[in-house]
Amino acid sequence: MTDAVPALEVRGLSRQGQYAGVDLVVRPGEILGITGRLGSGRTELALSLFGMNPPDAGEIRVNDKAVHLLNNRDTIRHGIAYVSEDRLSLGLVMPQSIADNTVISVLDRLTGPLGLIDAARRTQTIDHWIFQELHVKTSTADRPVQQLSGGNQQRVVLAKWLATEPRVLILDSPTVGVDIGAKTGIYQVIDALAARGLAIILISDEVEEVLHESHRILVMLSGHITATYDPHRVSEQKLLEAIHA
Amino acid sequence: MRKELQLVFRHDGQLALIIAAMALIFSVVSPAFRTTGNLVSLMENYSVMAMMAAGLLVVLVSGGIDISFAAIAAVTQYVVALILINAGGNWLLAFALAAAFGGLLGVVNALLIYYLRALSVIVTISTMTCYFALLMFVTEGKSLYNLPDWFTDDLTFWSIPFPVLVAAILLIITASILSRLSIGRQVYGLGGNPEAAKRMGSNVLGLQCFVYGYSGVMAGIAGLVQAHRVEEVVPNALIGRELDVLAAVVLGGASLAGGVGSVSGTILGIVLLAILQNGLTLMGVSSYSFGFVTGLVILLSVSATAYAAKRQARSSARHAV
Repeated sequence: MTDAVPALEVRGLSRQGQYAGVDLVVRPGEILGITGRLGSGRTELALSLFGMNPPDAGEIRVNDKAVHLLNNRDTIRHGIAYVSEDRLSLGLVMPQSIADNTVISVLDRLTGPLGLIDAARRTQTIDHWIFQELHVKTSTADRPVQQLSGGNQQRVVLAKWLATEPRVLILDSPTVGVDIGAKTGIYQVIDALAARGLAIILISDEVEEVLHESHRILVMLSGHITATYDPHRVSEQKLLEAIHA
Repeated sequence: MRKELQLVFRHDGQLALIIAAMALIFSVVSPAFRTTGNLVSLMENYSVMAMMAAGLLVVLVSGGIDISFAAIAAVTQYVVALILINAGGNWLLAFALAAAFGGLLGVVNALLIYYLRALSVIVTISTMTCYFALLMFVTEGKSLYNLPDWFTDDLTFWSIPFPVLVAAILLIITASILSRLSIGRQVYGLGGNPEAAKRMGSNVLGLQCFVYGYSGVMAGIAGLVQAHRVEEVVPNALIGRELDVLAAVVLGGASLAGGVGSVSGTILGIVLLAILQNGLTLMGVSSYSFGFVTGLVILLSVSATAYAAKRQARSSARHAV
């Protein structure tokens, strides 16, 4: 795995007052955990990697090519997806159907002659992501997404982003507000995605979660990466100490 | 989509029932109402309103509002009429000019709303005032009567009056854009959750230019067709219709909060208001009663929107706990 070309590589990334000198590498199939307290700069860093918070200095490379992420539209085109922490207010259009929420990310790829949306391809995309890949528990994708449970809503958000066919998926606190049973389900989804070669950055302040899910863990403290751990060789206690040092 | 459609149909079904009941009552009470002549002229009268409603609907779905469309229609009507009188032309040119000029004024709204980060209602009330005041100032309120003959001659296609045909085409185009085009679906997304739309990479400035520009295009064409219908251009003839159109669109199920609305509903909303106004007039009831109804419809819609928002806030607070 270490030989593969990094899906995303960051060198010396800095933004005044938020984070500084950040280096990180994530390869296809790898789950990179980033943990740190609220205010450690983790979300600001994630937003920069998504093109919504331009860094002052440093380099971002996607698939071994230096990129300049102008905005999130640009970033999505480069194959980076970002599932934000607040899925209710930033992820979904609650009164609209599961189907509409799923395809909103890829409308331009579903159009046929005259720019009309191809109904068959639309249905196919929805079936694929909602039912086959993410197993959202619903009889029909035509239900308003607000009628789903928290865990299933999170799956719809994931489906929407996966439909863009990213190579890097940034997950910011993916299980916040999700009950324990549904958490396991989301971990299974994350593992399956990594197994298929997606590079995943998992941002979380739940120590157990990063220990359990990541292949490598970075600790962020006051805007700096202060430590790197192998999850098999670090105790929960030690990780907690690093986070709160 | 099916569930959504069911919702639309339920609303549309209720409206259709009310319309049928009202039509029945007016037919019994007023023999003049049920004449074919009355119904045809009713359709022609409201075709201009329907064009403006199509534009306003798209803006409402995007989560904004446009109050300036009647002023845009008035200004466009005047400018295009002046060009046609002085330089001549044909219908194709007339439509192109009206669409271009109306669209331009609409895009001005979009740019102001986007760059000032101002409420669309404030911006469009302001531009409405500016556009209309400028029109009255420059023209000194003078009407134009010497329109070319080809422009004022009555046209019918397969015995459908020209204004009705234009309205029908514009409504079909609007319905197709909203339901089948990528940009239309993005407009629903923007109106439903602007933050989520931004995160998904929707181009908010582009979408706003589209919706306000589209409203301007519809208004421009509406102004043009109005001039053809009445065979003159009176600068202040279209002003004051804004709230009637708004009432029709919200009656048709569009939400003032954005993200919701359909062309089928809008058509029913217009039909409902048209029958109500026409029936009351034929029964000799003062036209002020109609203004009261218009105001009441908007007030009820605002209340319903506010109430739904409050309930949603409460339920998401419960979810978070």
